[in-house]
Amino acid sequence: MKTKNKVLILIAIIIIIIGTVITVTKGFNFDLRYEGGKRIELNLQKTFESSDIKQIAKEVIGQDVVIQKIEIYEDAVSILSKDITEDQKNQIVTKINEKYGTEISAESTEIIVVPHTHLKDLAEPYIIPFIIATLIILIYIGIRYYKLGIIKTIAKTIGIVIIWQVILYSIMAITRIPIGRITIPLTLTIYMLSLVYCTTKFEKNLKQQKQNEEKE
Amino acid sequence: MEKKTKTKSGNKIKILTIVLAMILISMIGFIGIYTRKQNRMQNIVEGYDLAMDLKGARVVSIAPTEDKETVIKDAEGNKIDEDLTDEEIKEKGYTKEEIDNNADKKTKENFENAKNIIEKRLKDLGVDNSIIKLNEETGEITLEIEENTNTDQIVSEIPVEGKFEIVDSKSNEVLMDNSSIKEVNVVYGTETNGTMVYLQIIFTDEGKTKLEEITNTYATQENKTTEENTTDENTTNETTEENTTEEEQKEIILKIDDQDVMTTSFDQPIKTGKLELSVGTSSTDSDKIQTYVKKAKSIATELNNGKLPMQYDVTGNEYIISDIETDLIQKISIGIIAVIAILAICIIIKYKLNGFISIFTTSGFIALFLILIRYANVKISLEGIFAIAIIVIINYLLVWKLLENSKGEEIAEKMQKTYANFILRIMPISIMAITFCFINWIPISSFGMVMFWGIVLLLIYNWIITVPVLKMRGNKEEKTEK
Repeated sequence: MKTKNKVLILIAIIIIIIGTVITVTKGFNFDLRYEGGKRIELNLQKTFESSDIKQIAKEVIGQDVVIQKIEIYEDAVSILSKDITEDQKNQIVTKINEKYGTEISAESTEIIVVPHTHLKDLAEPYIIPFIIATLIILIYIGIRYYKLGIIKTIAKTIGIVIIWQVILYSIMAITRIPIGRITIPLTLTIYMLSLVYCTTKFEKNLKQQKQNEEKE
Repeated sequence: MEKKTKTKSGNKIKILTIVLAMILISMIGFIGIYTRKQNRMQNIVEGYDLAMDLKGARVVSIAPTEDKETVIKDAEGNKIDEDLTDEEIKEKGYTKEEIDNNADKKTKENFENAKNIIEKRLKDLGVDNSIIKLNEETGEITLEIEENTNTDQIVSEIPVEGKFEIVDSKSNEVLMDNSSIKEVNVVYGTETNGTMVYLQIIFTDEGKTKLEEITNTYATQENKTTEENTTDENTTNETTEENTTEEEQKEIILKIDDQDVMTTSFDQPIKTGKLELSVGTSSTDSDKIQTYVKKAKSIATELNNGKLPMQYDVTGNEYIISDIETDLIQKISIGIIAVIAILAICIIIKYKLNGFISIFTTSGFIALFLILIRYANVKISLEGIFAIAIIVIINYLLVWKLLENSKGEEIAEKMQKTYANFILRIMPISIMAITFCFINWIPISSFGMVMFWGIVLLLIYNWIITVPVLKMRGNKEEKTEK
C-alpha cells in the first residue's frame, strides 16, 4: 500500500476515534432552531436591522440567539434563545424601546416555549427516497462492475459510503458544527462525492484488469 | 502555408469569440440584465424561486382547547352545586378550583397521535415541505409550512377535529362514528344539468353491516291508512270517529364536526357499504365545480386520517422570514468560492493558457447553469445550493480530465474516451438525481432537479464549448512542436 494511502487511512482512523469519543461523552451540538428553547416576539412597527437586535439580545442573554423578522412588512421580530427569563425579557424590551423609540410593553410580551425537533422527524422524509436511490445505484454498480466481482464491488461501495459519512459526523462532533439545517445537505453532498470516488476507483480497476487480460 | 495561417487565425478568432461569449453569459448570469421600468432599474432576468428554508415560512401554532370550569368542593372533595360567594366558600371551609374537563384527554399518547394525524393531513393537502414540532408537555403543535395561495386554507383545515357521526335524530344516540370509516373519496357524477361532486364514504366490513342495519331501521315509512268512521243519523246526534294510525318516521342525522350535514331516512337499505353525499349543486361552471371539489377534498382529508383525539385552537399564525440569507448563505458562498478559487489556481498553474481558457469556459458554464435553474422553475432550497456546489466540483473534475487528455496525438479520440468514461463515473449520482426529481418533498426534489439540470448542461456544454476549444488549442500546440 502506498505511503500516501497509509497516511490518509491513519488520519481517518484518528478522526473516527476522536469523533466517537466526543459523541459518546458530550454528544452532538444541536442547532438552536431544532434544540428548542424560548422565544419572544416584539412588534416594533418600524423597520430595523436584525444585527442590531441580535447585538442587544446577545448582550442581555449572553447566549446564542436567532433573530428572525416577522411578516412581509418586516416590522416585528422574533428572538429565540435556549432560555429567556422574565428579567432578560424586560431588559431586551427596555433596550429596544430606548434604541428605536418604541413603546413595547414587557408585561404583554409573552415568553413562548419552542419545543425541540426530533432528528427522526427531520430525517424521515429522506429515508425512503434515499433507500430507493441507493438500491438502484447498487444494482447498477453490481452490473457495471461484475467483472470485478458483484459482491465485492457492492460491499466496497457500501463500506466507502459509510466510512465517509462516519468521518463527516466525526468531524462535526469534533468541530462542534451544529446538527441542524446543513446536516442533511452535507450528508447528501458527501454521499454523492463518495459515489464518484467509488466509480472512479472501479473504472480504474476495470481498466487495469482489461489491460492485464490483453497482456495475457 | 497560407491555408495554415488562415486556419491558425480562424482558430484564434473562434477561441476569442467563445471567451467573449462566456464573459457576456457570466455577466448575465451573475449580475443580470437591467432595464428601466417606471423610473427604476429592474433586472429582467428571472429571479430564483426560493424554498421555505431560504425565504420564510408560515408558522402556525395549535394547542388543545381548554374547557375550564370552576368547581367548588367540600373538605371531603365532593362537588358542591350551590352558587356561593367567595366569603361563603371560606366560611363553610370549601375550596374553589379550576379544572380542565379535557384533562383526561391530554396525554402524551394523544398528543403524539394528534401530531401523526396532522402530518398525514398535511401530506394529503399537498404540502410538500413542512416542519412539525410537538411540545410533549402542553400538547402544543407548531407547524412551519410554505407560504403560497393555499396556505390560509391549509391553516383553517389543520386543527379541525374531523369528527364523523351518524346519530338518531331524536335520542342523539351515536349509531356510527369515525371508527367505521375505511376511506373517503371525491367522485363526480354527470347529471342532466351538469356535473355533481360527491363525497363517497366507504365503510369497513363492520361499518358496512352497521350501515345496512341502520338503513333498515331508519327506512322511509309509507303513511298508514287513515280510518274515518262518521255516523250521522240525525242532526243532533253526530259521532265522528277518526282513527289515524301513523308511526313516527325515524330519521338519522349525519354530522361532520358537530355540523348537521343531512337529516334523512332511507328509501332502500344500503348494502354496498358506501354512502355518497352531494357537495354543492350540479353545475356546468368549471370554477364552481372546482370550489365544490376543494370543499369535498378538505372533508375527505379530515375524515381519511382519523379524528383528532381532542379539539385544537389556533394560537399563533404568522409569516416568519428566514434568517438564512444574512448568515449561513454567506458562509456557504464563501466556502464554494474558496473551493472554486483553489481548483482554478491549481488548473492555471498546471495547464497555463489552456487552464486559463478552461476557467473562462467554466465560469460561463456556472453562469448558464444559474440562468437555467431560474427558467426551469426549480425551487431552490438549502439542499439545492449544495447540489449547485456538487455540480461545480464535478464540472471541474471533467475539465481537469479533458485538459489532461488535450495533449499529444489523437486528441479527438482521447477526448471522446474521457467523456464516455466520465459519464460512466457519474452514472450513480445521475440515478440519484433522477430518483429525487420524482419525490414530492421540496428539499429532496430541489436537490434532484438542480443535479439533473446540472448534469445535462455539464455534458452538453462541455462537449459544445470546452472540448472544441481544447482540441483547437491541442492541435495548435502539436503543430508548434512539430
